[in-house]
Amino acid sequence: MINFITNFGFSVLRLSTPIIYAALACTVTKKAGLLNMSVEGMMLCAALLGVISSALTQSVLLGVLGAMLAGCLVGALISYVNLVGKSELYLTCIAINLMATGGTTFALYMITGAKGTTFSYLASLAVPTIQIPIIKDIPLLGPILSGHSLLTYLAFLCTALIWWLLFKTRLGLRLRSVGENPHAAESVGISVTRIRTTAYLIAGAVAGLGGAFMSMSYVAWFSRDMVAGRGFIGLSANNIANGSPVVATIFSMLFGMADTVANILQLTDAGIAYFVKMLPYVITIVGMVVMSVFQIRRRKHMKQKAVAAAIQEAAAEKQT
Amino acid sequence: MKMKKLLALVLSTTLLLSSAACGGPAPAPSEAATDPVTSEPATSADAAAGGVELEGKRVMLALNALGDLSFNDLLYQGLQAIEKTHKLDVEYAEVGTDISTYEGYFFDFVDAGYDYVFLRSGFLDLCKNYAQDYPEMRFIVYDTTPLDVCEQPNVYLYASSTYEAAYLVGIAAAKTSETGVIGFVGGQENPLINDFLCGYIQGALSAKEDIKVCSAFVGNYNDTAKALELANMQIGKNADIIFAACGGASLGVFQACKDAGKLAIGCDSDQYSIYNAKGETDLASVIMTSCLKKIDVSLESIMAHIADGEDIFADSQAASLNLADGVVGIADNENYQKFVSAETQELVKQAEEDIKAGKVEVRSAYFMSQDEIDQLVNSVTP
Repeated sequence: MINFITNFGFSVLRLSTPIIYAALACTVTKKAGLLNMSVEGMMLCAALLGVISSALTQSVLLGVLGAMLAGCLVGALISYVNLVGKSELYLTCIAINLMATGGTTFALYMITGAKGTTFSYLASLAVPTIQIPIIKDIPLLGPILSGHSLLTYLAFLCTALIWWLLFKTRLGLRLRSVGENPHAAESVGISVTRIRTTAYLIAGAVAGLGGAFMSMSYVAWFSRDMVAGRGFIGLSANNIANGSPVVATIFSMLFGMADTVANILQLTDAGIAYFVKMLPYVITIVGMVVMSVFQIRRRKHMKQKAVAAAIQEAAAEKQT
Repeated sequence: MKMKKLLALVLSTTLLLSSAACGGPAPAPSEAATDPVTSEPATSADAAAGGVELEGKRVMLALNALGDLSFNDLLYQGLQAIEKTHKLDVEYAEVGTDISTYEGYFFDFVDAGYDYVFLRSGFLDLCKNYAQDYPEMRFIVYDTTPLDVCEQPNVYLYASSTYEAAYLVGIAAAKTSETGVIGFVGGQENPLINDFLCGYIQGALSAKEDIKVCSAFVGNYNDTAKALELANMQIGKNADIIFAACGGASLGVFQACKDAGKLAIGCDSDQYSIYNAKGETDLASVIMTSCLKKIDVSLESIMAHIADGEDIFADSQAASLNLADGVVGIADNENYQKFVSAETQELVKQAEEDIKAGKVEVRSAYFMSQDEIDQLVNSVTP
């Protein structure tokens, strides 16, 4: 039983990691007022470039940096097309995702001559796993928390970093103000294009880490379409969280947990497994409805307050 | 327009080809083309000739994409083999998996006027509708289901009885397992993969009555991470040998087995030998054996039948090429010798003979209802 619990907990953390990165990448752009639907494509490109650069340089660090660079490049491409070229954002993102699917396979073929996987063609490296000295000896918790890839721990660190960036720095303040009201931000001299481009570059770097986790940590090779929808799940985690990095991380873990439960249930009852697999998406839909109901209420409430204040003011004016 | 399409096709094939398969000599005048072929299968030209001269005949092979180190690469090997034995003029096209594009490919093939066209099962409907318009051509649809039927006189369908090979693999796994629990990670839950699973379970049960079989499905054939996760779950349930029938995602299963020090079973091609040859000895070392679908052998055997003048096209029902035809089997390699005891090997050999002789009957998932499949799977779930 203990074995089962530790396996389960370990699996949840591992399955959640790429989703957390995806969700954080979406959070940054969401705060700047843009939906980042292309996170899937960012991760896929990053996964490939991570493998290529780590194989070429034989350095894990350069591999991960290569993956982040790939994410940034995709982010730069989107911001150029969307902010300078004034294209429709969603269409751009869809195009980028499709391009990533075909483009990575094409690049794979050009480099290795294979169309399925870099395995046995490129000697790429894996990010090391970390045994945390004291925690690893705690019964039950130790085996769950210790022994993960460095990138898994970095995911949680990233949550804190993104939170700090968004809420404690000047850039974060500008980023949020651009997201809340771009015209107002522009009127006080903030360059909306520059801020949004920055947001996309940061998102690309974070998504790049997610891609690196897929191809340099889970396994040490790239295989075609290996991100397999994890970017989109991260996107929906972020949508429920409504731009909060911490909530996004929590929901990502919830999705990771649903995935784990579905995996386990497959071993006992395949029928229920499919139901559980559906759950994250049901949660997403329900969560978004609840979210927007709250928002509508809040807006109504604020409107009522404003009206009441106006009446009061008018009454006060009358009295004088 | 048609010329343009043809030109584009030829150019793109040339681009993709490494060397051998293209730019061959111009085809000799096709014999089939000069003989008017009636729609009566029994009197078709091939049968009447009592042996067909295949030299210089043009053959097209439509496959998904090369480089999967498995099914498609094997197909290509088969193509190279028949090119050599029968001095054919062979070409291939990578048509992908998007069935909506197949119509274009199909008409490119018929415009080019190949003598023999090997097609993926996705082309079946096109063959049913249009094959009779091209009586001088022969269409061979590989890897269909055994249930498929095509009434056209110039179309041959065949399925591979992989459940028989899976049965042998099941025996080897059940006998070699120390924990009494074995695993199975499939791609999608469809008849094709269920055929492997059902054969595997039947084989395992025949070797060991109280064997437990964990089974799970990735949901696609790409998600290596998911496959790894599922394999880990099964290892957590004490499975010590896992059969990976999930295409490219199988790598995830091998990785999980390597990390946990367990054994894996490959699918379609001899994955141990392939990885070993590629220098990936680490991962190869855990692949105990593979459940072989020797699609290359099937190509050779079909061309041999045609060369002998056998009218294989007369049958409208899909043929099932099985153990007796040598099209499916269990991989015998260094790892098999190393991990599987001599006694078990003997048992597997005996079962193989029994199946060939019809003494043992293995049921195919294609001929089982979903309820029967569920019952079988649930009866061995740990």
